[in-house]
Amino acid sequence: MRLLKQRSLSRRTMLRGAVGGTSFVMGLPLLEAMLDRHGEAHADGAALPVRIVTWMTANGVLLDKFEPSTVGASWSLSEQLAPLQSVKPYVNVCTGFKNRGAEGQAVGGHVEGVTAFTGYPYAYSNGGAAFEPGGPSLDQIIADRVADETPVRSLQVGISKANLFSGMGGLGIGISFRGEPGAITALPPVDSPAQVWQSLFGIFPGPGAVDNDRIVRAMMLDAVKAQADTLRGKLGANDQMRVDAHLQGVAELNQKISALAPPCVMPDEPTLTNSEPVGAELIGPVNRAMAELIAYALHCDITRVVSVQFLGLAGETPYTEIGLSATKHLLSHDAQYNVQAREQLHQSVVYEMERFAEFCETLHQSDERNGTNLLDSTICYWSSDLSVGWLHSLNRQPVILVGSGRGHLKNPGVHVQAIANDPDDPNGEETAEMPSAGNISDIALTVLQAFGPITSFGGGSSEASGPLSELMA
Amino acid sequence: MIHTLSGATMHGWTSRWCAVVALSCATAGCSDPVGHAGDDGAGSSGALGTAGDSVGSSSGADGSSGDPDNGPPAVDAAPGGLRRLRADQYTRTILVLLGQDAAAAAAPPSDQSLLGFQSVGATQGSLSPSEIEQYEASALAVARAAVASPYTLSTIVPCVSDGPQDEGCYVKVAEDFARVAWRREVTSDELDRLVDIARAGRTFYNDSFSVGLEYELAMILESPAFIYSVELGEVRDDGKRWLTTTEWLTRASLFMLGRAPSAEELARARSGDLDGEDAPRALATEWLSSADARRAGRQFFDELLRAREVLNKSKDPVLYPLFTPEMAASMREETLRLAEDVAFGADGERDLRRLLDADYTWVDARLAQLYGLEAPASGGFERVDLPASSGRRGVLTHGSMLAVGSHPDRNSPTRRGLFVQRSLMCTEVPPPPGDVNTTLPEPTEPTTLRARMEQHMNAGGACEACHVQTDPVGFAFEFFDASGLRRELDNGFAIDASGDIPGIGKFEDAVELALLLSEDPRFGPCVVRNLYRHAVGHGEDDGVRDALGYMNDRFTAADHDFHQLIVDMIDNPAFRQVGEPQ
Repeated sequence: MRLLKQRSLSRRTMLRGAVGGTSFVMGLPLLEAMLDRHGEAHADGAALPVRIVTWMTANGVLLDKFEPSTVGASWSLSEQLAPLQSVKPYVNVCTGFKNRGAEGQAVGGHVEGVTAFTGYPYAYSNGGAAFEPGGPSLDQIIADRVADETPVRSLQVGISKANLFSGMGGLGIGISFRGEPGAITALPPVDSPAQVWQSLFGIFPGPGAVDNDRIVRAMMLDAVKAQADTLRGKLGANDQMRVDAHLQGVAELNQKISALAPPCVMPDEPTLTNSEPVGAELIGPVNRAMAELIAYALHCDITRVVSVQFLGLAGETPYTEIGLSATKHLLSHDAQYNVQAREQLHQSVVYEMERFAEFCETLHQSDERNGTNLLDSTICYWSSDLSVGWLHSLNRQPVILVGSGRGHLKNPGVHVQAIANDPDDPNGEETAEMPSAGNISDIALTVLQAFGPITSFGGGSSEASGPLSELMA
Repeated sequence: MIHTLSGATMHGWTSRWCAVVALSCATAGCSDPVGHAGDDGAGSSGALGTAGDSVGSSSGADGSSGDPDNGPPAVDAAPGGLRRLRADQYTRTILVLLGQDAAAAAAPPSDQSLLGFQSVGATQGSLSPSEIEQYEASALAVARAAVASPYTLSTIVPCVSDGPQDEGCYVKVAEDFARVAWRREVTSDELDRLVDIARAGRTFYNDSFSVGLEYELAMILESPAFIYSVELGEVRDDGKRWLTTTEWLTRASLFMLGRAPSAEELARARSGDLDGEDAPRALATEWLSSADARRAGRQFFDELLRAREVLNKSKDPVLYPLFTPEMAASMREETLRLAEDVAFGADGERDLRRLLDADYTWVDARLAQLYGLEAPASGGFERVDLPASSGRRGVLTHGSMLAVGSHPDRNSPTRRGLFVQRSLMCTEVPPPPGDVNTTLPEPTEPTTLRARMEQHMNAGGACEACHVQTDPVGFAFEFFDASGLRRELDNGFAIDASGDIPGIGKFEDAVELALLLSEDPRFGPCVVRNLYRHAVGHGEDDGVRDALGYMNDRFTAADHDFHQLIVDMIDNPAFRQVGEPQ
């Protein structure tokens, strides 16, 4: 990511703003010349961009090695948080919170863990053959607000393809959902760095064929829209929603095609396609490639909304890069009784945290202006699909926030704990239940408020009750 | 959004803690989604009703008009609406319409399965923006390849090769090719737009006819009219909503041939050639001998038997050195070859029950090593007899099934048993309760996996209600490890693969279980139900229960002849009619 610092931007290209009298959305990096004299807004008064990245891994942590031992401002990184050392001032940690999604009809750990991203309980559908989130995810609530500002409304990325629930189909297997309760569209992750590059950067017209190509493609999309509109009228309510989703995709594609190529140096097209089978995945290299692509996209303001599914629900892939042959999912069960499995589970959590830290560090290394970097403008919201794997527990589901969101969150960060853990039984081995309080949805609501006056998040048993002032600057 | 199917039942479990129990969710999952819905649910779920009540014999006490001699009973058909072409159907359609190079360039979004089948996902799932992008990129790439080698296209629109390469040719493409690709007439507004697009492309790119043609083709392929098959039907005198001939042809072709109809086939439909009462059966019979039908049949069994899933199974390389990605591919191929052999055999030799008890299979050198057989001389796959000493018969003892029904580092009798119950017997096994501990306690002294599971999962308590349905079936396969390799001991102890299961019977090992299952009266109705889901793309509601019962009666009477079932399926009102658009 140092590339961003070394390569200079062409001021001449940057000054393009409109073609043929038609204005286009254009991704634009922040430059001094474009800001007001305080550097706090664009010269035209528009607010500076705030970004969100949601990040999910799976199969939980070991709470005794994850939760920092002290709370408040003077906290130290725990063993499993240690990889975040280089960005620690940007880190806020939330422990002890209860994921209240499962208080209604229990779909349970793994699936219900994603309530941390949606704020809604999950429910089985199709007689247990599939499951559905109750409402949109936090990244998409933000996308709804900022969609018009950038060429790409939002980006969904997958690192490992392992997902034990992939056969469930339907809506339930990702972490990004848009729409309203009752009319939700799943936005599945894209696993291939080459495809993500195409979606973020390749879509802009290339040299030589620039404007003509997009004019014809826009004509095509217009024709598609006309056909879909006609078709819609012949269909029932369910299929009308499917056509609406299709039209939404067409509109987003049109917005991308119409966007001017951002005056940024584009990253090279990666060769990685992440097509290796589960078990032989190149997780480290894919993670690095995705981190770079996302950082470029945020820096150039191509998008402000990203979700990363590092590992799918209950995902079974071994972290071979650190010499493990057992999958984290199995380890998260065997660790209850088996000392070696527990050590390997710990190593797996640390490995995942290193990948997340590598991503955060990539943002950290991306300068914006006046010594600020992407972590100053971004909030990275991290969680897993449960807390303790062998219990499938949603008590004390951990959340990490990295980045300040333009002064919204505390920096240096704090450790907010809803309720202390039982020091004699931190992983619930005796009681099968760790103490847990509050509502995990309140953390997401706190994050949402970096993007505007948002007062509610989620619904049902897991509806947020209010933001957490302890986290706010 | 996923349409909620009627008839779905919800179990009432909310227990947080499954007795003291539990095998790792990974290992058996008293209730863990892993062992259940997550991995095996795949919607092969029996939750829409057991074979007995939803697809049972039509001669039951429900008064159905199921006498095979009286023709199929009336139905209340699944709703009409949009059916997205599955990725395989999309690509095969392009192959037929635009040739090999074009098909090689096709890159449609992948499918999601629901109720065990991608066809159901194709009538229920919505496309995301990134999938719309993939359709656009695929359309552009296919169009480029099709124009670079226009032979196949020129069989439909000769002017693209023979000229004159003028605007009139763009009009011909819109009239003749779009009509085939969209499986309907092209409106004048659509025609104008297509020609406008072609003209714009041509103007912008140095007056290049080819570039204009590329954009025009891309538009045709990016169109919802290509991506979706629209099934609305028309209400006839009997008050029922019948698919039009072209709609029926398209549905039948997607199902039986794995692609949309060709230009010739559509022309036959337009000519009225397919309107007769006997036409569907005649056409289906004609199609059955085609290579496309075999390929499409493999697709069904790939999903039903979950053979494809072995490709994404991770196995501990230390414990299972023979299990490599290449081995996984061989395993899938073995299962598909047996399925194709059974389903598309000679007359009188298509009894689908042979899937379960065949005493032969196909192996290549890799599988031969795994199974302890001699490697085929040809170097490729060859049919071999399974010696009694192998302990194998039928697909349930194939490497694919054994590996899919296992964890990365150990067997899962639960997963293996659940597959048999849900996917082959259509037994209802409820989804798991949510928040439970599923880890099997460490044994006080070493013993077999079966003994540990019997102690914790099957000895009373909340877990037993479900696990009694799955684990005893799965124990039959304990002579095979998680990579499908034969073993004589488990953890150093003798293996007990025997069972005595109410409703199934008494057996000593997997071979005896295979023989029992092949005679099990639930197998036939379950195949019919699954084929219906795959063919129609909907779960089976009450409105088609009698129809499925009728098909099963004939299927059973015909010694489970798969060809007869296919022909019956596409001729049945449950296939030829639709309800109101969903």
